[in-house]
Amino acid sequence: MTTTALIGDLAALAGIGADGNAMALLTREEGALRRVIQRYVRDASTVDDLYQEVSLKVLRRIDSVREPAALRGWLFQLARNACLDYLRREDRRQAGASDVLGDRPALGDLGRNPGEQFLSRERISAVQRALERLPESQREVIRLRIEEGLDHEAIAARLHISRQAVEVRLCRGRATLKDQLDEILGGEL
Amino acid sequence: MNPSDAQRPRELACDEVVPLLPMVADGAIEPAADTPLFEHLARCTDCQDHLARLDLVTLALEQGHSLAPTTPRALRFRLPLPFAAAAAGLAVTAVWLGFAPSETSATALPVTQVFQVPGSNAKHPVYVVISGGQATVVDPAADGAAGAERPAQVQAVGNKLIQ
Repeated sequence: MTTTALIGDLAALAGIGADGNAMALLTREEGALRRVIQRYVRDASTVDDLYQEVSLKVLRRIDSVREPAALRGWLFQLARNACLDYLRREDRRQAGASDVLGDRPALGDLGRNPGEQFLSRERISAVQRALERLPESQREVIRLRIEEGLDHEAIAARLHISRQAVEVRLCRGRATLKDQLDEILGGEL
Repeated sequence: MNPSDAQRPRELACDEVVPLLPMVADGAIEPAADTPLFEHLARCTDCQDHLARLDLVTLALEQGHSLAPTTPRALRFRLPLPFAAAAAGLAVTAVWLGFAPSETSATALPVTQVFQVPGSNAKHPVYVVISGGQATVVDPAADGAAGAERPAQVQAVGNKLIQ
């Protein structure tokens, strides 16, 4: 059975109308979607699962895309969000398991993708160390964004600075952390 | 200009996209808000790679935050009464002796002092940590895995004051 036929069957089981245009879009974009997913997840069966998840979302929501020019970008973001949601779910699942086991692995150390090591303890520690080396002004906005989940307006109000200043600091801080991670990872992701 | 060209968004170059990627990773820019940016992302593997690394940083920060070791709990409830009394007395004495910062002597004070509570034993040591004028009773074994790593840091202190 082809992937497209499988998606059609899954959509029917889920009661989703799989119109011909959407199925044709999925057939055409399957390779591109899988390549996006593979940037985040390497395990082949997880890639398949996430591709199917994305496909069903495409069939459910394709009517929400009003502008044809936005279609490919929308597909990209759908695939990226599915990957990030999956990785966060894995983190929470492993955290739950650690409540029983008494220790908490980093994502990729255990679980469904034992060889994946997408986020090993070593990498998390490296990012944390890089965070500590950031200028205080950048570190503080990142901390408020990540740890407290504040939006840009709320951070600006908390720090008595403009929203633009918050965004400049976030951009610079994230870019610096990414550069430092690049040095550690080299060509490997 | 061809009418269809007027409707087509202008294609962006990588050097226009890359500076915006931290904001995409932050969730501040969505496809509906910037179609040309996401159209570029959908077809450019270099920018996809760049964004994936920024996303990796975000996930690592989220995980690092949630993996951060917890501060050992102050044992207001779990410390057996004799230990608590001894610890409280030691803490009060230490502060009374002038170890706590004051307006006039703060710069000359040691940053942190750790005392082992008299009466606690080597298998289950209990400490009083005095830092920044705050005295806290700490049982490293009380926090499971997180606390179990801590005796090595403080065991060498014994009953002496350290600086």
